[in-house]
Amino acid sequence: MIRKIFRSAIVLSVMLTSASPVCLGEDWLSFLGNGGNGFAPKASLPVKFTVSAEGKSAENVAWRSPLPGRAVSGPVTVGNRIFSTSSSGIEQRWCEVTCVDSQSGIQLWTRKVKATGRPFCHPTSANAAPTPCSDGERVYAFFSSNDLVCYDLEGNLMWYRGLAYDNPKVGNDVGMSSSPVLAGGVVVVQSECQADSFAAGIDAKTGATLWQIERPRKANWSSPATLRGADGQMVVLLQSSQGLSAIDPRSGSEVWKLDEKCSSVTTTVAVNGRFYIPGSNLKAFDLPRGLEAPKLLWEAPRVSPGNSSVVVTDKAVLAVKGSVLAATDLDGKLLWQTRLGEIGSVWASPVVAGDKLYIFGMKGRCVTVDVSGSEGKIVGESELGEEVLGSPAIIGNSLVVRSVDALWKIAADK
Amino acid sequence: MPASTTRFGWLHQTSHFTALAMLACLSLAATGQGRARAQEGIDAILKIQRGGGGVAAAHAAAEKLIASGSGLESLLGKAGSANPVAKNWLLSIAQAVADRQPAGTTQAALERILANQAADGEVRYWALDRLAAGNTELREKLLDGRTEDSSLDIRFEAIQLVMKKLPSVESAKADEALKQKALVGYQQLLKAARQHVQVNAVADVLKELGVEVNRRQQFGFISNWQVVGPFDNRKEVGFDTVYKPEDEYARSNKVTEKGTYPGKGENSQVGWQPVSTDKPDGSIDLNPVFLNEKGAVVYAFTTIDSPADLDCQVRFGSPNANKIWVNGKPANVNNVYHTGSQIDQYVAPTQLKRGANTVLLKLCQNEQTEAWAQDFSFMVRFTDETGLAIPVTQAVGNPAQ
Repeated sequence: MIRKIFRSAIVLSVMLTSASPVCLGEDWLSFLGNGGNGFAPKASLPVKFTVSAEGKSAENVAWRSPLPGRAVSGPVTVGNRIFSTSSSGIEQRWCEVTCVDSQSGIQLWTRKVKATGRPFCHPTSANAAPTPCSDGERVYAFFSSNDLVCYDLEGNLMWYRGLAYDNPKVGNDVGMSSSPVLAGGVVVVQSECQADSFAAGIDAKTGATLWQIERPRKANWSSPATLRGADGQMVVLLQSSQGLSAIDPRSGSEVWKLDEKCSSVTTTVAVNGRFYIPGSNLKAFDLPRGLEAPKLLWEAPRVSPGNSSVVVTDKAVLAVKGSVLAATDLDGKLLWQTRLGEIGSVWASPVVAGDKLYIFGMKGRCVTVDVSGSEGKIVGESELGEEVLGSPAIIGNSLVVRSVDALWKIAADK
Repeated sequence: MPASTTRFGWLHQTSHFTALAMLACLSLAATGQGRARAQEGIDAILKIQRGGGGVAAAHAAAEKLIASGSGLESLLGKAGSANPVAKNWLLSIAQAVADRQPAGTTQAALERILANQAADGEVRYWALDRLAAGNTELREKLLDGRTEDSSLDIRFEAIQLVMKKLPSVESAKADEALKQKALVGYQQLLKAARQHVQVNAVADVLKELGVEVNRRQQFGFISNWQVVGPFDNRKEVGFDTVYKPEDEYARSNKVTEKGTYPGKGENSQVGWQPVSTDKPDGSIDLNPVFLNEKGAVVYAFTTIDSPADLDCQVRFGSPNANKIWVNGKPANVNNVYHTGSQIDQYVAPTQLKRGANTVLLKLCQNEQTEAWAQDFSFMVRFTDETGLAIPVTQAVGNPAQ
């Protein structure tokens, strides 16, 4: 059905389905998804979608929901609800969170707070740069201005923190994009700039500060990652150009540290008993045991990601640098490299649904690559027509994309 | 592409609340006991402190305030005097409360909040936003005539709206009557606009219509300075090093015009030299003066005349680490390099006294070699809290006395 993009949902049916979140068991709760590796193994998405230049017709586009202001964050989903951040108004000082019904694209609620920190950023970025996270009951949204707010799924304020009000000299005028993570009931945020850098653990239920530690005074856009060690202990990985620290999320104390010069843009991915640190080379480590530092498993110089984080599937590690997508096997052996054509600058981390990788260029061009074979094969190229800098979410057999101006649901026409 | 979405407010929210519980809560809210409890909750939120103190109590209070359906006006009545964190709590609670009530029951309260020019500007903007949710026509109606609103958010949006409605440059160029209408309209907007991007947008249109706005004057940038340097900032040692001009100024609120000081190089002596700008953004480029010196500290000094004793703001921008003093008092400090520079990048409260006032800036250039890390510049202006330039004056050449 070509004109789905303008489909108006029947309000009553939406109300019935949206009255409370329906758990679909396929939530995408944070940047790079629940596994933190950008991989949804069971998802099956159309390899291509189209939006006409006039915006009057579309194929494999379920809906487009325009949002206020702009954002370079990615969406998260809980059941049939999608949560997306925006920053609007003068200097993007209004920090907004919008809840959208995933079936219809109808906006269920929007909440806003006024930035208490510096909202400035590069013109291509936005105050709404970090991707929010959720524990399935609440959504936690962080902004470049260091405003951190928690709502329940109905939009009721649980708590709010102005972390720049607490730390007045924190602020990155290029724009801070570090996404929060949840670990053991603690929201961990990492805000690093040239002035008062910090990481903090905030009680997810009450918003109280459990700990705060100083971090290197250097701009850093990477996000924390969670890792469960071989002994079962959950740690949060904080990376910077000065190393990778594993932090106890309840106390903020350092459990171990690797003296690896990490990327200050892309994020460490931890999955399946290993973690992958982006730097000048991509390095894989095994899980730490007790207080022992993790061991280097391999190093892959040709699979160093550029601006977007790597995706790790059950068979491969996939990284984009410039317009080249490279894949190694899980032992670091280079499998193939594929040129992505005229994709342009890439900031959004790719995601993999089944055996298809979806990557968006900044100008909105989406390239779909079949990553199942002995070489990466481009199987679809699509134009959204709007800028995309945030990593998409996968919900069921749909791709949820946050463009700078709107939220989109890409799904096969029925 | 038209919006494909709408809000449907309170109905779906009520699914988690029995009608009985809701009625009970609303009834309680209307009673004296309910009002007292609501006030306790509001007071708990107003006690939130820097560093997160009081957040746990506020969390508990927020839950009760939302459930009890507190009145929007009582919730937001003290927002103007709250700290910015507490104000955001109150605004967020109000949003949830408003969602739980049928639109008709909150409309009158929202209209009263919007109409109250003495109320907090951000609260009033939220009230307008809420009233006009999803209704572009109503939004435009509410914004009509508000280009000089006390809320900067409302003012900004009202000016944007008028800009859309004034004759386009193309039509004005083709029709003299339309041109006159546009000129009058844009000149009014120039007086009303406060945010620098908007001021520039209005000035751009006026330029297209043949009227050149002196933007430097419009923004109130200080044009004439005395500068001295370079002093050592290799390995960024200079930011916390008090060089002689800084020491002299801190002790006497003035600098020695004809004095020389030990500079960065061995046996070098450096002295004050005048610089000025006629750039629209008031920026002073230090690279030509100091020959692109890296690892350098430069001081800039000036004297300005204020028409009155004023509580005001010093607004400045620089891609370099900086410190600024006004009348001998530290006003702001930013140990940050090369994250861009823009008008009003840094804003700090300060005071001017009637007559002569001194300003000293310390500007630090580091040793980064990247092409984007070469700028060495600054811009300074004084404004009221809305961003309106204070008409300070300077003697030509501004000799340091």
